[in-house]
This record gives sequence, structure tokens and C-alpha cells, in this order.
Amino acid sequence: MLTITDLSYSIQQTTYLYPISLNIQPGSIITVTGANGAGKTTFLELLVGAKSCTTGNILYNNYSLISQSLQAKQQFFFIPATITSFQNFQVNTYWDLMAQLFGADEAFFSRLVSFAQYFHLSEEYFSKNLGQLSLGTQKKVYFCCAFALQVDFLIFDEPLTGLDVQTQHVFQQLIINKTSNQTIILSSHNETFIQSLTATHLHIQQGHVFTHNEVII
Amino acid sequence: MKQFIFALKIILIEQAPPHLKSIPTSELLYRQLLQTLLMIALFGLGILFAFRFFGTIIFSTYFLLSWLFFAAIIPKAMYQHIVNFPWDKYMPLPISEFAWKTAQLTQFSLIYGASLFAPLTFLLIWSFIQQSLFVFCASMSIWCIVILLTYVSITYQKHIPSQYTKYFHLVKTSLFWIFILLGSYFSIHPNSFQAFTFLQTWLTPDWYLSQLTIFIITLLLISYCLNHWSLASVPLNPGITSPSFNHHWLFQYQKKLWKTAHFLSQWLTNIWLLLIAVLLWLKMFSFSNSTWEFIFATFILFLVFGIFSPAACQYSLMDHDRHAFHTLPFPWIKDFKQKTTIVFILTLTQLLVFSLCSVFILDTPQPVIGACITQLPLLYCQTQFALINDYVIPKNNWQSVVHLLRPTWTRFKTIAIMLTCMLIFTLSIQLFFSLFVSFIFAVCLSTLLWLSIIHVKSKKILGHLPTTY
Repeated sequence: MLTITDLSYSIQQTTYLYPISLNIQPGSIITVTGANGAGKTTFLELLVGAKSCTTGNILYNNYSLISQSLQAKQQFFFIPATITSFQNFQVNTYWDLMAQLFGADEAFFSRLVSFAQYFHLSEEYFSKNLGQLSLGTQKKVYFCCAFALQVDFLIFDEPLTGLDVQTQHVFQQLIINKTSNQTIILSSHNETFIQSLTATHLHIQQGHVFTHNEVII
Repeated sequence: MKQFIFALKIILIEQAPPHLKSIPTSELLYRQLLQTLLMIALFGLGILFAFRFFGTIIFSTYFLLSWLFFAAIIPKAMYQHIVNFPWDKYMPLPISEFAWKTAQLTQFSLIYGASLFAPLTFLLIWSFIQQSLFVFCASMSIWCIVILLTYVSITYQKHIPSQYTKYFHLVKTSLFWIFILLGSYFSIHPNSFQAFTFLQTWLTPDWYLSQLTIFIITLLLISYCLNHWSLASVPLNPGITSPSFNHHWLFQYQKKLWKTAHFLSQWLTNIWLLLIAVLLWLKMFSFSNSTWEFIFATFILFLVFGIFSPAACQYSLMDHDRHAFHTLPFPWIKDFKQKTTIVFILTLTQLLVFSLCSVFILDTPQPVIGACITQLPLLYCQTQFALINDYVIPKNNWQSVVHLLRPTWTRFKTIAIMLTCMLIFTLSIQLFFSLFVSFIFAVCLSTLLWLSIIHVKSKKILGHLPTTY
């Protein structure tokens, strides 16, 4: 279980996320919605440790994510909304690096190939640099890696941005048919997509997190 | 060590310069290393060549340039380059923080090899020539402290609570600049190190004038310190990428700061030129046997300082600053290119006339070079000023570094060309012993250089002029 306690984020006098405490059950799907600038990305970035929280703690299997424990980090794969990292890496090299960092098993690469086929990612892209690919194709590369790694937590920030309709559908199916022990947290503006998932819906409004119209404290 | 190599490999690929981006990963590492080695080798050869054929004048000009470049660019570039790594916080890197930061620093040193090691290389060669261990040790320690401070601050700044970040930046920047000022002062002050006493003979005809140069440089460095602090205290990610950054009070404050610094520097340069003119005039007065000679000398000085000097000052402003362009004393010429050309011709004439006065009256080209050296802070100041006016928010770290470097390089290139023209002229006088031939030679060469500048300007720089001021 992922236990979030009193998590908040402020810069100087401005609070971007008010304190929130939450338990996330293994295998669940959490969707995060909210207007632009409400704090969705901040919330997700705090979860993975891309931003340092002002107060609070996040515990996973007794490992603190705040103290940046390597074991805990290896169970979280985060795909940001705008992809700016690893642009000079060839797709193959990127996958190799991820396999090393996340301690992937031997079957990782065969799973990767299966997911690449599923996402219609042609082999000719494998030797190209990520920066040379379109946003949609870059996301496919990231998705293949994310699903093939089989980590406990997949966190996506606006995953549908830049994807064609067919890939959106493929992604949706993968989320619905995910493995039972995998937890998925994603943010999106696409209401149809959100409604199609059996998930716990979180709504963020001006830094306050709501569920079922009740603010979470 | 294993962790360090692993980290270095990742960073070298991730931070490859734009022209290497389309190259496959396997080739990228070798190319980058080769390029850095080549840069360092060329730099070393250049320095030796400068010393062998041009002696201490070019050598010490280079040293000043290095210091200015170092003081202006390196800490800022290093700061921006190393701090903003978007993914290293959430990726499970099996690398210690020490190995990671050291790898980042190494990669930075590789990319900026020539620039970063410029003062170091200079000091090594210089201390070897002078056989002065003291010069080497003193300057080296200052240089190392600056690098060390940058490193420490980058490593530990994330542990500072956000409410104290501003004070942390203030202390850090103040420390940087205390050492950089010390370094500059010890490098330039004629009495500090015996090895640098030659500056006393070429920089100024009078010791007090060298103090003026030190004052100008110090002033600019202090301005830069304030500027650096103000930029550093803006939160990098949320602040600099936001459009509201343009309206941030710090941004506005920087504009005012550089405007003031520019104004002071311009007038100090004018005072410097005026002092040399007075010296020249006094010397001519003491040697002139007839009234006609005296009138002629006064006329030349009037030409030099009455008309050409403001033009020379404005010349450095042309690249980016429309405001300065509008203040040029030719309101009837509307075309930017024509105006630029006229200013250039006037500047060149000023330099030629000034060189003539120096060579024939003072028997040395040194005051002219001294005067040009004082133009350097002015150019530097202008660079910062233009940078703020023409500020484009960069998309990533590498672009921001390039953005910082490009205008500075343009300015330094311009002054380097001006210096070259002058040197060619004074050397050709000594070579041909004929004023006419020398003049033609210098004008032809300068025009050629100028055409190359105009070509580049019309293609690149003119397209980037700010539309509003």
C-alpha cells in the first residue's frame, strides 16, 4: 500500500498543493482531473519525487519515497506530459538504460517487442534518436518501456496528449487489462476516457484535492 | 569509479550539443571527446603562437579577455547547466550523489574545455615563462576556489529550505565575486605581482590611468555580481519559464542596472580617451616649433575626440540595441545598414588617426591598445544589456547556455577585429615605412573584414534585433 501523509507543496508564500493524506491500494487505478494550473502535475511529480514536498511523507513497503530510496524508486515509472529528457538517446539505448536502472528481468526485451507490435511501433524507429521522433511516437516508446518493466506503479501525466485515435484506444485497453497487482495513477482532461475506467477519481481545484465532492485532508 | 563512468556516459549523451544531436549514440561520445581535445589543442597552439609572434600585448589582451569571459559566463552557465536536470530526481539511479555531480562537472568541463581552462592554461604558460611559482599558486588557488564554490553550492543547495534560498544565493554569489574580483585585481594591478609589471608599460602612459581601468572593471564586476544575484534569486524552473518573468521586478531591475552600468562605462571610456588626448596634446605642445603644427595637432585631436569618439562608443551598440542606434548623430539616414556602415567608417578613421598620433608622436602604439582595452568592459556591459532587452526564454539548458554565449562572442569578435585592424596598421607602418602604402593596406584589409561582418550581420544578427525597446 502507498501511504501519503500530510503531503503539501509551497514556494515561498504560495501554496500549490494543500496538505493531503491518502492510502492507495495495490492494483487500483487513480485518475486525477482538474483545470489547467489546478495542481495535477505538481501532485504527480510530488508522488514520484520529481519535486521535493514542503511537508509530509510517502511510504511504500516501508520505504520512504521522500528519502529517495532506490528500492522504492525502482517500483515507480513516471511519464511526464511533455517529454524533454533522453532526447539524444537512440530508442534501443534508452530501453537498455531503463532496463539497467530498473533492474529488469531477462524477459523484459521480449515483452518490449510485443508491446512495440501492439503499439504499431515499427523496428526502423529502434535505431533512431528519441528527439527525431514525433511526440506521439516518443510516447509509444515510453509506454512500451513502462508496461514491459512491470513495475508496481505506473504514473502518467496527460498520457493521451499527442496520440492518434488508434493509439489512444490501445493505451486504454492496456490500462483496463492491466495486471492485477499494478497500480496506475494518471491525469487527463479527456472525460470519456476517465469515465471508461473503473477507478478512484480525484479532482484537484486550486491545490485542494477532492474525492466524491469531499475535500481530502 | 564505475558509477562515475556510468553517469558520465549518460550525461554526455543527454547533454550533447545541438549539432551532434542527430548522430547515433555510439559515435556521439567519441566525437564529443575528440572535439574537446581539438579545442584545447587549438587553444594551446593559439596561445603559444600569440606569445611567439606578438609578444606580451596580444598575450595580455588575451588574458584580460579570458578573465572577463570566465567572470561573465562560466559560473552562470555552470549553474544553469548542472542544476536543471529534469529527471535525475525520480529515476532510480544506482549512482551516489558525489559520482553524479562529479560526472556533471566533468561533462561541463569537457564541453567548455577551452573556455574553462583558458585562465588555467595561461597561468601555466605564464608562470613557466616567468619562472614564478608564486603567480601560479596564487592565481590557481583563486580559480580553484571559484570552481569549488560553484560545485559545493550546486550540491548542497537543495538542502536549503526554500525561504532561505534568496540569502543562500546572495552569500554564494558574493563569495564568487569576492574571489573573482580578487583574481582580476591581482591579475591587473601592476604592483601586485612582479610578473605583471609589463602592464605598467603598455596599458597606460601613467600609473593612475591603470587604476582607472581597474576601477572600470571592478565596477562592471560589481554590477555583474548584482545582476547574477538578481537572476539567481528567481526560482529557475517556475520563474524563468513563465511569461510573467518579463514583468518580474528583478527583471526590470536588471534592465535599469545595466543601463546605469552602461552609461557609467561609456563615460569612463570617454574620460580615458580624453586623458590620453590631453597627454598627446601636451606632448605635441612641448615639441611643436610653430603655431601651424600646434593648430594641426589640435585639429586632429578635435577630430578624434569631438566626432569620432562618440561614434566609436556607439559602434559597440549597433548589434542589438535599437535605442542606441536611434541616438546616433545622423538623423537623416534611416537605413540601418547605411548607418552601421557610416559608424564603422568613422570608427575606423578614429582608430587610424589615433594610431597615427600614437606612432608618430608618442612613438608607440600602446596607448591605442590601452584605449581599446577599456572598450572591452563597455562591450561586455552592452552584451548584458542587450541580453536582457533581447531576452528569449530558452527551451532547455543547452539552448540557454548557447543563448548566453552567443552575444558575448559576437562582441568579443568585433573588438578582436578592431584590435587586429589597428595592429595591422601600426605594424604595416613599421614594415613599409610609407604612410600611404600602410594606409591603403590597412583600409583594404579592414574593409574585407568589415564586409565579412556585414555579411554575417545581415544574415544572422539583423534578423534577431529586438522589435521593441
